[in-house]
Amino acid sequence: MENSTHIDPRNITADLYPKKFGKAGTIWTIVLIIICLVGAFAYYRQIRYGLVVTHMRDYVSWGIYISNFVFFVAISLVGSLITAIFRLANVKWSTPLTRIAEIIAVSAIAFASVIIVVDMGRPERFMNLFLHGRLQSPIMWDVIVIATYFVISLLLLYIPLLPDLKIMNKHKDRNTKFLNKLYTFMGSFWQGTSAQFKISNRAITILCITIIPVAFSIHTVTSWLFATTYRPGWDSTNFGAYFVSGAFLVGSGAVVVAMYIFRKSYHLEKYITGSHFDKMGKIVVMLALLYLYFNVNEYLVPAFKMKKSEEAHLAELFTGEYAAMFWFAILTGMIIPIFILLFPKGRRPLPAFIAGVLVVVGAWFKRYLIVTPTLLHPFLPMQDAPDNYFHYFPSWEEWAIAMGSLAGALLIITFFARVFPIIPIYETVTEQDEKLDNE
Amino acid sequence: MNNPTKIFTFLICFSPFLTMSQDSSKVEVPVKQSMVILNYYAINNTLPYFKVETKNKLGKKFEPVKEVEVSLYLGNEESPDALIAKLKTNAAGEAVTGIPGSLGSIWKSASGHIILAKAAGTKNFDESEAELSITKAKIELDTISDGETRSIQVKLLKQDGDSWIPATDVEMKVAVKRLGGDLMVSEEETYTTDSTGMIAAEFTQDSLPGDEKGNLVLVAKIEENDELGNLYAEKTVPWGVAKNATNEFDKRSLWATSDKAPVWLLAMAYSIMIGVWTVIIYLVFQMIRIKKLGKFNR
Repeated sequence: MENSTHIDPRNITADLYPKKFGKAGTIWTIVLIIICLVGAFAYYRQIRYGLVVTHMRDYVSWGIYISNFVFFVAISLVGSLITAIFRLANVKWSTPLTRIAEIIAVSAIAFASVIIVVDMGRPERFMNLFLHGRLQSPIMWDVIVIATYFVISLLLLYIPLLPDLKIMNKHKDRNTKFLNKLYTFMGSFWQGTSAQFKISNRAITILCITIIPVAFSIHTVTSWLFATTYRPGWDSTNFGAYFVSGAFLVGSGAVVVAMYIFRKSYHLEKYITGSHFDKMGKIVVMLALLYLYFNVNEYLVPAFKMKKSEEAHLAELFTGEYAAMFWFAILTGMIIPIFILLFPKGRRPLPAFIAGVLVVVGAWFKRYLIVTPTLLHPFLPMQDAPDNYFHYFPSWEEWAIAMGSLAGALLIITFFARVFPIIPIYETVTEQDEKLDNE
Repeated sequence: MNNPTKIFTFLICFSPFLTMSQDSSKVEVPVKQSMVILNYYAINNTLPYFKVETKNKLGKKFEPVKEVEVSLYLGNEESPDALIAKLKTNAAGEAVTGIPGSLGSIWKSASGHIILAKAAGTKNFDESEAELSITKAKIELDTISDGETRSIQVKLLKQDGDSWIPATDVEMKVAVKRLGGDLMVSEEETYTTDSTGMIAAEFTQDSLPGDEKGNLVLVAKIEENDELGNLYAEKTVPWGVAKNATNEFDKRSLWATSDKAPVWLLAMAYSIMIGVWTVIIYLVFQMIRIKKLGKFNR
């Protein structure tokens, strides 16, 4: 299996320096921008005509937007896993993955905030949350914890970037005018002195310790938005752990996907090696098994008791209107990736990438299934309502906004990789030097 | 990626979109039958009123039709002099009217009347009519309490010429008015008036919460009687348990307004927030320190 022991430290900067978009990169960026613009137009229509352009009605008042929000919050958790947990556990092999994980976390949490404002329908009333918010409401806790997590994630992205900014500032001839200005603004003060390193290393350690409980809180609180409500499918004491385990899984799947794409696009085979896919593959298997365990708990226990209120909800998921999507989510989100990644051949880059894609796609549909079917099964009978209140399928505006937000998150990652080194240059050089010294 | 893998991945990724498509199978449209329903009401023996409902029967379902013009006439002929009111049904397909002053003397002059309702046709509603024949009646509600037992006596009288005579064999409900509906006063669901137009109901509801003074509202009602229509009478009696309501509006609780959040919640939430944000602010200061060190070295 490939590994990173034979990299010439002199080539590292050249290999990892941000590169201009190639043909594929340009097309990719244009496609993302177009999807974002379509989403922006759909949002304009929503602002202009109101939430009536969506298919959310009295019963399904949380549709694809909230599913998307939960998905974004889930995927953002990976920053704390790869960066913080691995760093604190002194896991050295994860160095090339830390920045990928952190930018996924930052972009996802940014768009989680955006999509929740979209769901509000009246964005100008957002400030009312702070002016008149009730601290008793889990929605308020979510707003606070998301803002906190966003700031910590930004710091965790920025502080380890400082040594790399010094490198970028050294190579002004390789940068555009705008980038030189940006690098100067962001990191001209970094001299790389031992005093600066001492402070920054300490700051990173503090951030790593702080981000773990905040990350657990962010998704636990998101789960409480549902679990504090007495409704079939949501009324569970297990929801916090269920959400957190699912979040780690989808985040890890996303990192595997991003690893493969960056490795291919920027020819980083020497840095993101087969060994990284092997190790991440094993982590994804472990997390998929853990999430599967929580799923068994979430569905088997209510199905065994089959309380009247849960019966319709479970029947809808297992054999009813949502059965195809439910089994698709379970199979692609957990079972198939486990079978692919369980074997060493499945943990090679391409199969691992496919497994990662399946995990992410399955996870998106899983969030849809957590949010929507429950809303179609209230305790009081649904009657005297128009026919379209009894079903939910998002309108084109909802699809466009949801896809636009996903494209927006990918666009942040894309531009970040264009502007900053997606693999930490300084840390890689240092680790290679240490290896050579040891040899 | 080889071709079979590509096809497999495509099918796996897009199968939910395929299964989420709407069912477009054709539904048989049932035959529409428009109808106007006319009802007579008298509450506490005061001036009566009429309620019209316009509905379309579609298969087994009744759907209210709004914006239908309905003319009500006193008597069975369409005459401008006998017009009670021209009504337009609301969103629930209903409209209500009383007897206008101009027809008061005619209304009083007879013990029974025929009312004609004529509904004009609209785009969604076919022209239709209904006729209602009613005899004026009144309910006299009385109570007897001897300390141990409590009973309710209801007398039903109908007008016959200038006099009031007992209305016999009429089914009636006697109940206590509650917030969400009526509670029967005993296990009997309905009572039937005897040859004197009377019914007697024993009040067996013990320790029923009343208002602050322990008052309950008894009701006697006749519903959709072919001859008498809908009659309703009520009487307040001190047979309940006085409610000693404690106002918890100003207390701190999870369901109170934002300024009345529980102290334990505020303490927990603020201590966590202050703890985490102190760390963040400390780190920002560390960044400033790093910046200063950089400038100093330069």
